[in-house]
Amino acid sequence: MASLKERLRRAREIAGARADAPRPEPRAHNDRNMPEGFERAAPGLLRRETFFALELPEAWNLEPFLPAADLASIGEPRAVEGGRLRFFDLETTGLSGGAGTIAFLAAVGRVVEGGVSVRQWLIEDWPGEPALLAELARDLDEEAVLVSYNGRSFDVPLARGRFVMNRLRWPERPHADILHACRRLWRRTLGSCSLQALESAVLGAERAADIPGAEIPEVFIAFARTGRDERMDLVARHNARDVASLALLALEAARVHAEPFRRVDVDPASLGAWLSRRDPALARSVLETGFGRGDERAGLALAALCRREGDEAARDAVLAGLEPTPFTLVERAKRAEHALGDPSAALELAEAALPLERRQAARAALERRIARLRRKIRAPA
Amino acid sequence: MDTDSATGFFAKTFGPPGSDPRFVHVESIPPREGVHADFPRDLDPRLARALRGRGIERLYVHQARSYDAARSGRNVCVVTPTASGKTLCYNLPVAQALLESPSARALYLFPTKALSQDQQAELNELALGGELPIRVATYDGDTPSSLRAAARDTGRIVITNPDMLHSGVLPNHPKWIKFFSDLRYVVIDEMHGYRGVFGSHVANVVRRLKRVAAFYGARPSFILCSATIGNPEELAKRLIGEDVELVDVNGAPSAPKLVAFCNPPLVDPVQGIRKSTATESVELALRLLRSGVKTILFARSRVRVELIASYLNDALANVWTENERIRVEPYRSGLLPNERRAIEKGLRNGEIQGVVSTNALELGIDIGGLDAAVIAGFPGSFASFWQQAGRAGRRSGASLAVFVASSNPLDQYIVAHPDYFFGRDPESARLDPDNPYVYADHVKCAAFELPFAEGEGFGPDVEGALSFLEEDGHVRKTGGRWFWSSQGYPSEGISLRSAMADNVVIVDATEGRDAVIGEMDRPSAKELIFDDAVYIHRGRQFVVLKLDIENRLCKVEEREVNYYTDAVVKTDLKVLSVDAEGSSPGYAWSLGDVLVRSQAEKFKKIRFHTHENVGYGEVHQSPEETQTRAASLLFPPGSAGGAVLAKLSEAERAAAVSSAANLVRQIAPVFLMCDPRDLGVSERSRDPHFEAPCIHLYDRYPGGTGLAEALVERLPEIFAAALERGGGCACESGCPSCIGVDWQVPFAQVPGRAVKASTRAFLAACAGAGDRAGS
Repeated sequence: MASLKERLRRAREIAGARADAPRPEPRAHNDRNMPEGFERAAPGLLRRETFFALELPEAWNLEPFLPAADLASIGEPRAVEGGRLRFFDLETTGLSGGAGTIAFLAAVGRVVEGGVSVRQWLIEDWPGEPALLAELARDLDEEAVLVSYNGRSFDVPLARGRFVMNRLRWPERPHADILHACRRLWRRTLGSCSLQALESAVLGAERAADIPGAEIPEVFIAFARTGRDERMDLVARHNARDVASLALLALEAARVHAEPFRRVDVDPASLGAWLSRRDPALARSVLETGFGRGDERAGLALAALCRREGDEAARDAVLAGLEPTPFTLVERAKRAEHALGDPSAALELAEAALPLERRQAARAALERRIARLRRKIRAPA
Repeated sequence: MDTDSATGFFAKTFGPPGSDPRFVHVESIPPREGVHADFPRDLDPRLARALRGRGIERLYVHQARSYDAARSGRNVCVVTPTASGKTLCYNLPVAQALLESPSARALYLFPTKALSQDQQAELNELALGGELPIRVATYDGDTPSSLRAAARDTGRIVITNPDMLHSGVLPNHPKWIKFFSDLRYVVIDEMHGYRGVFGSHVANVVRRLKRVAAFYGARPSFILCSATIGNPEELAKRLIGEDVELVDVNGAPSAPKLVAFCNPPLVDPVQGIRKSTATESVELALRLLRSGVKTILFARSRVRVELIASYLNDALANVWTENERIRVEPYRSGLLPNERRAIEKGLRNGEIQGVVSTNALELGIDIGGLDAAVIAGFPGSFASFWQQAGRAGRRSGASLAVFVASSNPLDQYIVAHPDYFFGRDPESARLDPDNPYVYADHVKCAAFELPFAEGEGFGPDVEGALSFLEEDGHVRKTGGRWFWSSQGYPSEGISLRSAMADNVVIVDATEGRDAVIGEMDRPSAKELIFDDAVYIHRGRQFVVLKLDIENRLCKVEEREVNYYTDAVVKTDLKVLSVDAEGSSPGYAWSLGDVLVRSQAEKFKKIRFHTHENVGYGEVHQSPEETQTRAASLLFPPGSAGGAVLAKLSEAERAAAVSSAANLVRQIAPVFLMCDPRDLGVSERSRDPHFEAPCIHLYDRYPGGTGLAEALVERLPEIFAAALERGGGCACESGCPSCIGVDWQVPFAQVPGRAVKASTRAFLAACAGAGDRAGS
């Protein structure tokens, strides 16, 4: 009987699948061109340190980024010592995840005198992974606080899986993923919230040569197979640069949450809503400013804040200044009827709301309201 | 059904047995009393209470035996007919283990999502009643992502299907660490469904499951349930790669049942032409439906299902009586899932009285009890026949199954031999976990899941498969291990349901509608929905505007026509390897790889109802090429069969080989438990490779599913049965029920009487002596 491999080969010929398959190049052994700046730290594992001169504070405000569970464990979240932060980012062999996708490059940035020092671990081939994971775990020591961009959804679940598969324990640490806070500030005003987009729009920095994220996996696959691929320099630079930008972006985002008027490109409604539960006075001034500039969403958030603060008169004024929608009209009708004792005004408002309301159930409720108000006007209690 | 006895039921619709000559045989299957056993002594009191709450005071004997075997840690395979309380065979030992050990988990595999849903409802409502602290979670393509994490982390019993296990669970196993670490039981229900190419895939998914579980230190026991088949123990072993304990006693009671054979009357006795199966089945089904009998009609193909359903609905059509208040629906693959669910529901709640189905409804999908089954044409296997017949019948009250024979040789063989039919054992189900394509695909997936270490065991030749995958860059060997070294997510591109994943989407383009109405696998599409073909979807007729294979798109337009279409497919075959050979005095055989090239060249237009040929059209589709396994039957001059052929003229020889090939192909499926469409045939009066007359019988699935290997073992029986049918037919000069009529097209100059005689002589020579062992 033909061997399994021969039979499979024959099938491949029939399918013609081989035509566009890349021919593996012979692997460069000892003459490998080490990617720029790297040195061998262990068999199969490369390391480099890159320093980025940045102006950074000693204490960081992480409150806008941390989930409630982590807030408690971290001490004073508004003043975390810079030395504890670990800005981190992984590059992986695939973008869709799953047990066969591994991290081949890890970057961990620390705050040091005068800037951020980024340490990168790069494996030469698949067997280097356990060494990379062990080094990564060492970098994420007990006091560490992770800072990432989308790490909660991507990097950490992937890393956790890799640690499991290598029978290691992923060091669970408090984790400040700044993606959601950045979306809160800039999604409505800037659109794309990728790290690169914000780097350019918020930090005003441009990258000279870069590599699109989607091309990164194939670079590593070629690099491992052939022992050299000049694009790996670009990948490593991209990864280190991401981490440095992450530090600056975390700083800026935290500052905007504390001093909302530092920038004009933030969304006042989302920021004001977030501040409402933490600093109502500041929230009110953010929302009033936004509403003053004609931002309807800020007005709605402001109305909600006024009610929570018990300032109904201010709320009435805000609602009156908003575009008439079924919501604002009905809210005003309720106030007119119950608080101000003016059923005729309430009826007028409710009648104005009816043609705008499309939802069946809400229309029915509105019709009942109108009927009741009419009865009330005809026969005052 | 208010008639208690099966005979009474039959007589009510068709008159007393014997009064209608079409019913050539009526077999009465007597009711059976239940055989019971007490609750196991160690049964958790909460479980016993839950059972009593459902009115169960004792177990059936097969439930008790399964419990004992599973509790002892052995793998168990339980064989039970429908409606015999099968689910308790696994629910009891699993629930007991889960109650004893609060961290233990179990995985339930059902072949379809619909069955998973039924099972979750059953587990929640009946077996566990909500009182037992066992969380049951369904995890399939329909599970919202918000519920998935909870299912993984807290589901004690996770219900899924092989496809989801393959593409969703195993590739993400690090998220399932708790589940796999404590995996105690794996339940595989409807095991008989895992045969052929699907079974071959699932056996490899089980290999992967065991490998991942072992990584987390778990070694689960398996509980498998099957309908009646010839080789449950063997199938279970091949599926899970381990020994099993067989439980094949059945303690469940059953109601009386009648199985009737209907042979449609001869329209032309000389030419052997009978009234069509479709027409006859429609007539019987109408009689049943009109007497208020809920009826399921099984037909052999998607096209026939649509045809018969529309014949039925045409006959019932009446605006004044809302079609006599009888609703009949077609049910087949290619309908959209929500259409299928609606039909299943309609059958359960009584809104639908009749359904016409392909074997899609053979599986345990819950459609409630029906009273009668009409089986239009033999479904290809005895196991399948009994599954279909079993669709009629409830726990109490008589039921009826009517088999309507077609004129093909196999059906005629069966109606002529009821004793053989009712006396024989069911066929064996086969799968080939070592099919090279299927296996290589799963080695790929397994490498993605965990790197392979040198010397690690996994199937027949893991190093061979890995070094093949290395050539394409999918894996990379380094440091003594093979690592997945490709970007993709391999299981995404591998479908368990066929050897080839790509489906053609059928789009209704009538007046710019642009709505997807179904899909079809690519090779079938080339033979069924070519340009100008008629496609019938739930009784509506469509004509294919354009089949765009490249973009996997078929545009159709709704149009009223009075015919359907049938492609004429030409097949060419090349021998690639000879892996085993053998001979007997009558013939020789060879087993090996072949390359089959098939192409639809033209199509026939066949008028509805009369089934007469009303025209031809051209098909312009590229050929399909597949590498597969074939059993080649050879008739060199030295063999008795070859000696008969050598005496014939060239045209006579060709006609005899062709008609014998037709007969053998039609008869063989019954010995192989396969669908007749799983087996292809290509015959030559002189084969260029073997330089002798030859009949190649090949597996239609790429790489083969074990059919060719099984076939060479059954050759003596197959030749004997072919001889009996071909030689014993009462027709004058050959008919569709014996040597067929297809040979007439190329060999019209040979008189039928001569062909019939020479075919008989040829088959007699072949069947003359037993097989000498081959090598």
